[in-house]
Amino acid sequence: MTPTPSPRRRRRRAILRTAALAALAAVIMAAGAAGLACSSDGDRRGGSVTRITEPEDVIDEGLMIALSQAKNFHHKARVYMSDGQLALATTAVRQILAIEFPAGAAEAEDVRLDARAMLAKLLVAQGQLDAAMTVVDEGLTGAGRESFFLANLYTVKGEVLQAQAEVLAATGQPVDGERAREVRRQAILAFDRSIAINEALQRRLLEER
Amino acid sequence: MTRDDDTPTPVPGPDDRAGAAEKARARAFGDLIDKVLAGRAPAAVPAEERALLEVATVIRAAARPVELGAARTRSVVEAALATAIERKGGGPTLSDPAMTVPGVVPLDRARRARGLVPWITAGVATAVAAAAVALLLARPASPPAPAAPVATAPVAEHLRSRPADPLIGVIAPAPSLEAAAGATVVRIDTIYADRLAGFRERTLAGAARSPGPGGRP
Repeated sequence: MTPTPSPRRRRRRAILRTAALAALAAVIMAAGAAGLACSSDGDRRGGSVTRITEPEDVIDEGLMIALSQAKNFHHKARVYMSDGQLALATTAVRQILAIEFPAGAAEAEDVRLDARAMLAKLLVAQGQLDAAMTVVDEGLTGAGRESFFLANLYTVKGEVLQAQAEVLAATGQPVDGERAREVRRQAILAFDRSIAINEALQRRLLEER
Repeated sequence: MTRDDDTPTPVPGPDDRAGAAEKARARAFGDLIDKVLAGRAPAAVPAEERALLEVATVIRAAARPVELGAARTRSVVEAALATAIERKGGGPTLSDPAMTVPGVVPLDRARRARGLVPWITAGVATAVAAAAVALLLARPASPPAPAAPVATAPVAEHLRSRPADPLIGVIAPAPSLEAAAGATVVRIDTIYADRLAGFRERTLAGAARSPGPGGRP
């Protein structure tokens, strides 16, 4: 037969139970707070430090789209040229300058310099020598490095200057004749600059091989 | 023990078998003893049986240990311990609250201390929890973590965006506008085809990440 606990003992057990529950609740609260603190710290830390990324200058879809657009505009301009529509060809080539390449893509400068060279030739063919020189000068000013495309643009600059000198010489005026000689001298400087760039680049490429 | 001399019943020998009457008397007396022990003693009992009952009660009391109540047991033990301690210390009595004996804790004080243990535990745990919550709420906003060093996977040269000079080479002056347009188209086609090959290799063939001899795998 189980003895019935006395009222005093029952009261003591109730007190002990209450105290144990209070302690348990406090420990749970502390654990929850600690867990919350740890999780918020983890959120702030962000991603993994062992993440391996690809370099930003890989050939990506953006670069291929830009190159594809430039390619199509050049083909379009050639079709217009074969049809004798130089103005439309000029418009097509000029659109290449508005193509948005991925940031840092080295091909962007090459493609734009080549487009400027073609655009300047088209403008020269249409008698727009000043516009052609503007296109060339903008390209030379904005170039970030020496390249065969930059050398080609210097060559085109020489050609534009040569055309300007011929126009000046054709007037028959002594003043224009003097200016024509000066323009020819600038053309020679442009060709020399083109030759210097090409030689330096070729030498560098040979050394790298 | 007493015996009524007027009883005509002969006294049986030690080795005699019990008769039916004797067994009946013994069974009746046993029932009487059970009633007495259960607190249901009959109001009137014959003198002979009362004497036997007294004897049975004395024998039972002598055979059973005395059971004291819990309070009585505690007081007796405490008194005995106090006496023993006083004898050992030889000084003041334990009833003096200022008296301390090395290594000895009064029972009532130990009992009070034992009753405080759960409350102390609960209080400490609650204080720790409150401190943790307060620390969480009052913690200053930590500065943003420094940018983690991110490793960059090596990629072969022909899979990367790069100048087209090695691919195109020196651009010769064109003798005519048509020739210039044709050469320009060839150049852009060449650049596009080369980069498309790299793009396809990287995206479709699983991206060869380690360059082989000459920069190509």
